[in-house]
Amino acid sequence: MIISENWLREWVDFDIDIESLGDRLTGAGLEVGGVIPVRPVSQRIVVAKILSARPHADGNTPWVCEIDVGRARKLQVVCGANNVWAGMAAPVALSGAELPGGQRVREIEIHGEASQGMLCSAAELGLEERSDGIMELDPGAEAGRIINTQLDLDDTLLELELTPNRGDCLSILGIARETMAVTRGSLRKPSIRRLRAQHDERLPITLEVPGECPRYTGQIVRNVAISARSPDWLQERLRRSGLRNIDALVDITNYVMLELGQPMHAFDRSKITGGITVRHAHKGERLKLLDGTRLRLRSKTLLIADESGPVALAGIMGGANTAINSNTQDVLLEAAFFSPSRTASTARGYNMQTDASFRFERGVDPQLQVMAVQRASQLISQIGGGDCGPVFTAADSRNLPKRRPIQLRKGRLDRVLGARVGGRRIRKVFESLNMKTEVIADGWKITAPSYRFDILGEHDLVEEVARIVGFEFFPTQLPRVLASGREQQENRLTPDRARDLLVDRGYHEAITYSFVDPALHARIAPERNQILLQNPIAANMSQMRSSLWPGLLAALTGNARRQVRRIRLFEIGRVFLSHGRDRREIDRIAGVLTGPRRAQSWDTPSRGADYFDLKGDVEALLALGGYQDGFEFQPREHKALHPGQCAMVTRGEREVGWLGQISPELREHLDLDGTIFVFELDLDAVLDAVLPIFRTVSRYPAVARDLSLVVKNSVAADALRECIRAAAGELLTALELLDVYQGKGIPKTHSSLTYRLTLQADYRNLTDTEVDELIVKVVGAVTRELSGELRT
Amino acid sequence: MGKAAPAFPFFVSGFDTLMKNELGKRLSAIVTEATTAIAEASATSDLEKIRVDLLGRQGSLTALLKSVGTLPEAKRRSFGLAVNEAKDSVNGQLEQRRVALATSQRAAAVEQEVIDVTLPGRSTGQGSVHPITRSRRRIEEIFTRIGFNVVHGPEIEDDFHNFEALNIPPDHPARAMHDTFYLSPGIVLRTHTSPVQIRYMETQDPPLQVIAPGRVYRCDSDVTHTPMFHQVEGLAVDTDISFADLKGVLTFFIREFFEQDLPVRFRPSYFPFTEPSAEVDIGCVFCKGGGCRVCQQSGWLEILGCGMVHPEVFRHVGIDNDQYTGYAFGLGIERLTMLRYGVDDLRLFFDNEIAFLRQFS
Repeated sequence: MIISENWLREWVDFDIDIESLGDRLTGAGLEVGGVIPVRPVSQRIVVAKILSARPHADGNTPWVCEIDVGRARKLQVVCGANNVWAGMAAPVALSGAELPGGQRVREIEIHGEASQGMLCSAAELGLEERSDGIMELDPGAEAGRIINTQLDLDDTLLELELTPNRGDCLSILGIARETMAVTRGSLRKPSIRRLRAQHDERLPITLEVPGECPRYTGQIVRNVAISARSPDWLQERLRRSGLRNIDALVDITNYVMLELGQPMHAFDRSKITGGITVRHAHKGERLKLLDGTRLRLRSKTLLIADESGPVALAGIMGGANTAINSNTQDVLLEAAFFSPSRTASTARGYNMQTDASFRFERGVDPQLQVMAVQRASQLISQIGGGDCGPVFTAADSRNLPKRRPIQLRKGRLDRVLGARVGGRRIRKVFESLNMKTEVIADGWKITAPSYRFDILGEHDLVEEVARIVGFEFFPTQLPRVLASGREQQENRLTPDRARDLLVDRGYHEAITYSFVDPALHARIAPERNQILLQNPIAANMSQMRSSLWPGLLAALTGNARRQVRRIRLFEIGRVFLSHGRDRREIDRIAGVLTGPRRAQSWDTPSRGADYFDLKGDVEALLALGGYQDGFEFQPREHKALHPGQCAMVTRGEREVGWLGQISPELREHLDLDGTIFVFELDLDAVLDAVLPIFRTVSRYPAVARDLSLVVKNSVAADALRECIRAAAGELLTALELLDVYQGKGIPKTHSSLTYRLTLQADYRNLTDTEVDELIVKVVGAVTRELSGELRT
Repeated sequence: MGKAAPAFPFFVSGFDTLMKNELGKRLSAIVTEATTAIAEASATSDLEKIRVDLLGRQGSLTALLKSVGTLPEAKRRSFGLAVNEAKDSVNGQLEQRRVALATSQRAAAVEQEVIDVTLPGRSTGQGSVHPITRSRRRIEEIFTRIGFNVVHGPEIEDDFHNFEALNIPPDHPARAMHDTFYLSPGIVLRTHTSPVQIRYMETQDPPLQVIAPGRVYRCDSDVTHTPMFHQVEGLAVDTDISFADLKGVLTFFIREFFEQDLPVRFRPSYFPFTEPSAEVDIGCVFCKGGGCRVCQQSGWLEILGCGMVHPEVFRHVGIDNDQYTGYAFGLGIERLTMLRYGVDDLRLFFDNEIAFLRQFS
């Protein structure tokens, strides 16, 4: 909200400058985002009275005007705009004036006619972005008066960023009250009084839903000069507050809203049949609004209606059929109190945010309606004239918001704020906020004024004290360490451990969006129960990921497009799974890699990374927890992966993750060259760790034997290893695969795998016989179980 | 090349007499020859051959020594002594030459192995931790140091935990500010990390002191907003937690995080789930408070929101509002990261461009 300093000073006396006021309001919770001076213009721009206007003989510049600028001699100006006429008042920049845009005005001759100044538009004065034609001033404006005075341009604007709890501050009056509290100044309300009624027409009002509209006030003003233009001062104040000028009547209702905070509406009296009823919509009712929107009304929608049907959407916008227009003679002014929650739900339900709904949602003072109507009719009669009738009100006092006394305990106050605030100081705080204070045994009883919707409990009073006294008053207590057990288990690694491992192996950590493109996702992890956003920001960001691969592959693609050849990216993040109505969130760790195996080196030829580079990284992750065995790599098929280079990782019965090369189809879809490898593991499985248990360190010599075993290609290396391990038993302390050979001397259908077995006993030397027997046993097992044999 | 050995390094009594006889001449010749051969040897294997020729079982010096017995009694002792001394001399020369040869061989080998030590080492390439993670870790480290535990909560939330229990009922104006993503009616992507407060208080009894970092989502995307970002929620509840504690903890945190004694300003604000509520500003880290583009000439940067836990929140989780007080705060990791490292475009965090990421390795 933007507030004019001059307007504010009309309402409150305070003796500090506007910058300091801005700081104090900020310090009290009304954040001032900017203090912006209204730019006064040159003193040589003044009010001109156009005495005559005749078309220029030359066709290009239409008007030659004789003007009065309050001097004995009349001046002549040539004007390019069309909206000039004799009798009009307009700003003129006299010779020597500098316009805000930097242009200097001089006496010139235009096609043989002298022009001794320049009639200005609002845009040329820097008041508007663009404007059509010369700016029109009050017809009664005194010729020669300096424009800065005429338009009150020596002003400053306060830009306030108000929080939603302070609906009471959405007006000059509201800011004036806060100004009073933070400056100890005094409020001075302009006199708003009831005008003597010149007729006695009232409309009957029925409040059918008093819980949502407990007060409705109206007044009929007859013979309104609707086409009257608003005076300069009013137009300027609206413009400075960010509102457009419409016509005098609408400008006045807007002015009252800005000044008092009460949204108002003006109906064409002649279009209203019968009385006014504030009620819920009936089934099937329709309403066309002022802005042309046609609504099919839902039940529970609060309406203003007359005998013929709905005439306004309560608290939001008036209807088109009862709107004032240039033929309107008599108007019905409305000021009502609508409940914040009803207004909020209606505004949301129809997706309509207006200046009125914004205020009603945040709470309008329920005591304000009569004053607002009086203020409006006062302005109408002052500006355009009109015959005011009586102000009439329907109210249901039981449903009007009430402020009950709230207890504030001194002990509680001190405990929450961490400091003692003196009793006198506290009473002064509440006094400055217009709150009634009564001293009781252990504190005070405080009653807030009607406009403070945010004061509901003791905590709200604590806050009032804190913000008015100032947060800087309260001490800063250095952290006290609360001795709470760290929730850390030794058999559980931190995700940072896994993260650091991949970083040290050359991976860059990525953070990708949790919502991904459903089309890409379907190619990677098709599933029956997608989790979709109802209101995504884009169609390609609408599905909650059930795999980290779509995001990582998109990131890889982005880097590849930027000519990065060697890419290693990983992410640790949540995936979202759905089983029927059950949703689960699981942490995963996943990576993608492509390009050369090593960073470019001057002495080693560059080779592309392959499955075993990927697997090495995955094994390193799985080894973090200290489990010697337990993870298995099983050849399986996966939609996104190459059928011959793809493995599922399991631990016992549990699927832990996947790794492999992405399928040629997916690679083509992503339009990528080269081979791309991916892995994804459940983070839990990676972080699960063993608590080490000591086992004796043998002091006896170890014996190593190398065995070359020939098996069919269909026998997985893992199976062979397990067979050896089982047969060798406890004496086997290490089993390393030295070589895999296919070729000369071995049938094409077979491979030779050379293992080194390291054997050692804890408390004795091994004998040669014992070792020989064990090797025979191992070979026997391989022959029996896997049809393998010793290579000769 | 070793020094030339003296031809006759030994000198014993009766030498003159000795030299006059045959054996003496032979001894002298052997020694002279050996000295020359040793000096000319170019490899340790040559030295070994010389040693065997002289001192081996069939060696010439060995033979002379054996012949001592054939001499007359009177000459035995002196000749024996002379031979032994010749033996020692030859051994000494052999050893000296061996050391000399080994030294020059090592030197030659080292010469062969000289490399350019300024050539780059072999590397697997260094990766990097994402800057958001980097900040999150530092934030966690600072808070855990003063006794906070790190906890987590779900990213798909229900209306109750994301709004209602935080004192944001359905028609509250604060909801409009949240730009919520919906999965279905009443199910949202959490718009802040505050629901973790609720979940933690639902299951744990005070005293509590936790932070909850994580991803949050808002349906908003432009130059200064991404639809996903990161927050850290903080919560402390005990019988005597006051606003002064809140000020202290956050001032401590800010100064640790930026490693500077920055000015810190607490300013009243509004959040439905805290009261009193405050926004915290720090002196601009770029202009030191003088006013610049980043702080919009104000000298201050808004970095987090906080306040004392609202009684309505305690009521929703069943904590006695009279017995306990607490504070809560929420900060944006992106904002802190941008200020800390001078990143000027929020969207870079989620582009995952390696050229950007590697700057944080």
